[in-house]
Amino acid sequence: MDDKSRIAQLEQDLQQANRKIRELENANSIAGVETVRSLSNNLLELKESVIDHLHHPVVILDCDLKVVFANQNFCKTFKTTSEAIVDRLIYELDISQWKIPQLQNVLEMILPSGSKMNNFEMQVDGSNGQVKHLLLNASKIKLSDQNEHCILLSIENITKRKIAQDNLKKSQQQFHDLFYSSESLIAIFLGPDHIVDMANDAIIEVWGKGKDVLGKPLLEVLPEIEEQGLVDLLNHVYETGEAFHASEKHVSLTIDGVQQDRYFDIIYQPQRDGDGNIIGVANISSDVTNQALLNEKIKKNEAQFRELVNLIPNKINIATENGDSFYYNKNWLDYTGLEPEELVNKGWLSLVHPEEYIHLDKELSQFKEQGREFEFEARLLNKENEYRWHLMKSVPVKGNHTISSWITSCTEIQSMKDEEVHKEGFLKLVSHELKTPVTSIKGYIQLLQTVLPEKIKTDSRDIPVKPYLNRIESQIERLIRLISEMLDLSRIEQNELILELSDFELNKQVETVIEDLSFSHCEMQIDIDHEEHIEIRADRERIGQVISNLITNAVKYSPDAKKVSVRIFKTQDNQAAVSVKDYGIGIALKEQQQIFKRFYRVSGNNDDTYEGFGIGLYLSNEIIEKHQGKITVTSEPGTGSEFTFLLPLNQSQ
Amino acid sequence: MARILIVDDDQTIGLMLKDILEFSDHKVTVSQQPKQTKENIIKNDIELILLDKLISGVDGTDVCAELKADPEVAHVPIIMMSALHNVGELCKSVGAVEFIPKPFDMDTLLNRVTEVLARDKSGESASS
Repeated sequence: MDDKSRIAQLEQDLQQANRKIRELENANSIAGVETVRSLSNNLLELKESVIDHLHHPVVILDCDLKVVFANQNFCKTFKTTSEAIVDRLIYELDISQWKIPQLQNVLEMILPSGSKMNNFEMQVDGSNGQVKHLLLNASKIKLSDQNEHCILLSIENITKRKIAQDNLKKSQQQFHDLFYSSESLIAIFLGPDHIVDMANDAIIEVWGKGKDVLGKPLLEVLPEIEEQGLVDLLNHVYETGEAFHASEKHVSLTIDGVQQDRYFDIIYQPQRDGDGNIIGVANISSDVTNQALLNEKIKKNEAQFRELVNLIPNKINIATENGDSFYYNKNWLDYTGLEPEELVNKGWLSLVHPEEYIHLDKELSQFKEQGREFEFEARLLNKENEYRWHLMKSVPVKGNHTISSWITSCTEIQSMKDEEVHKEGFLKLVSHELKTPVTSIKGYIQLLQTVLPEKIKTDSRDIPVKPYLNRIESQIERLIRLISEMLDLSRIEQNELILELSDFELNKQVETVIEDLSFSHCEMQIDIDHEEHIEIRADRERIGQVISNLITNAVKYSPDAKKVSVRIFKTQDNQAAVSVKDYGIGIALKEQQQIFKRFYRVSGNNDDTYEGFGIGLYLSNEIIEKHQGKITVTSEPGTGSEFTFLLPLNQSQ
Repeated sequence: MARILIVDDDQTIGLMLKDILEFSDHKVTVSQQPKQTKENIIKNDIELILLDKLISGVDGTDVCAELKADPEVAHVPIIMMSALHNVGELCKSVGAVEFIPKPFDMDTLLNRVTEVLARDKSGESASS
């Protein structure tokens, strides 16, 4: 029983006692009056004792609002003593809180009107600066032994309750805001019929059945879900108290008579009352239709992609950004005879031939760091324990500028490699077979050149034997050059062009080449300008080949000119340079980029054809590039061309 | 003048070499049988051999290595020749003193032969 009830009870007892006294007085029963009076006195003592022990500060005032009695709690709360305040006006006590005109007015009103004051709330400033909330209750009582009325004033400190109430209000507001303004779809269903008790705007909009949904059973609001198992789920939550979660749950809603497929992430949470009994189910969902449709599309695309990846004859694997492959297509599995998990655990690198692996391992990490696509050839072990050549290409897949994965495609090139070996063997044979007769011819011509006289006299005329032999020899040299070019080409293609480096004088090599060429091009004057004396480290024969090629071209494409100029110099950035300038047909600008390509040949004005395979400049360019050098050309049609090759100089120079 | 043995399966090349070398006053024996090389050396008291790299399916380098391993004939210098590419180093590694790529200039051939004979002679005189 709380204090208020106790006071009320006491008052009731008191009034009853007073009534008894009056009745007895009326009956003139002295003895009875005394008995009741003593009873009443006892009750008063009891009353004061009870009041004294009440939890709230309670004070009894006389009709002048002077303190008659103050309970312990009053003295304690207002830090005073009973003696100090008895017989003093309540609002004149030395207690700052009481000097409140409002209170004085209220109390003064009670006396004349005889009314009660119930739950009068007051705010007073506490000593620590915090606002204190007090609840005052006052009632006029008449004590039996006194004619005048007294006032019983109880003061309750409700500050804590007030704060708690404020907090509750605040959180209620927050809940309200959260509930109604949330983008999540929230509704609370009560009872076994799932009556819609609360539903926020978001869910009402998704339901599409208008705003008038509260108080209705869910199935009345959404009859279309009856066959979709949702009500069974709600029933289950309601009956068992087990929450239900689902992602991308498909729900078919009928909006304006049109069926719509929607997807929701759903939580059904049981709702309980204060005693823990289930009273309903809260539905917290979010509409993930767009995402679900996208996922479905992605799944479909992925299925198509997998089909595609298995359809093409290549082996395809996908790796993380770190290079760990997590997917291998069917061709990989067929080739290796391994299960997907085995292959993922082993990794394809373990199937690479040790010879390629040494280089590959290094290169792979380099390219991975740089995030560049790369291509390489390697032998891979198959299920028959045979290594077969593959061409592999790895491409980074970028998302948001960072690499998310690597796709590697492997094409088996074993037959190509086999053919290369055959071709190589064939070229070696061709080379050998062609060179053998040429060797004999050349040997005999040179022998004849040595043994025969300049002319042979016959009966009728002189035969110029030497010039004839010279012409044959020059054509043999040309044939030898063509054979060499053809072989060089195949060597370059197989990356077999190996440089034999040595230190030599560039000027001397140029002179030697010009000397050799002068025999076969005696009608052409080849000038040489030694601007600098240069020593380089390079493949002497190959550089000679380049010089020879440039001069031969210069002569070949200058049918009407008499001169070719060769210059040896150093560039400003200290590179060795040899330029060959002719005064021939020249090369159009658009052709200048093409001439270093294989089999490209410049044609003359009248579509004249010029001898050769069209690989001389290609070979020269390859040779110079192998030396870390560069060939350039400047030319004007009808005026002539100047080819220059640059080579890095020895460190010491 | 020296006694020279030519081992080459191409008859024309053999004859051409013989003609050129005889023109330079050498005494030349031509053989197409690599297996009879040792016999030929001894029989003709050969001072220099011109050996082709590829003779009727037999690898000239094997022949060269065999001769160099045989104390009876190891002293005879061998010049190897070939129309194959990049085999010069290989030939020298099995004991050939020189390698001449085919086709060659007559002057180159004669110069090499003279050089090798001169070197061989001075080596002989130095060791004796």
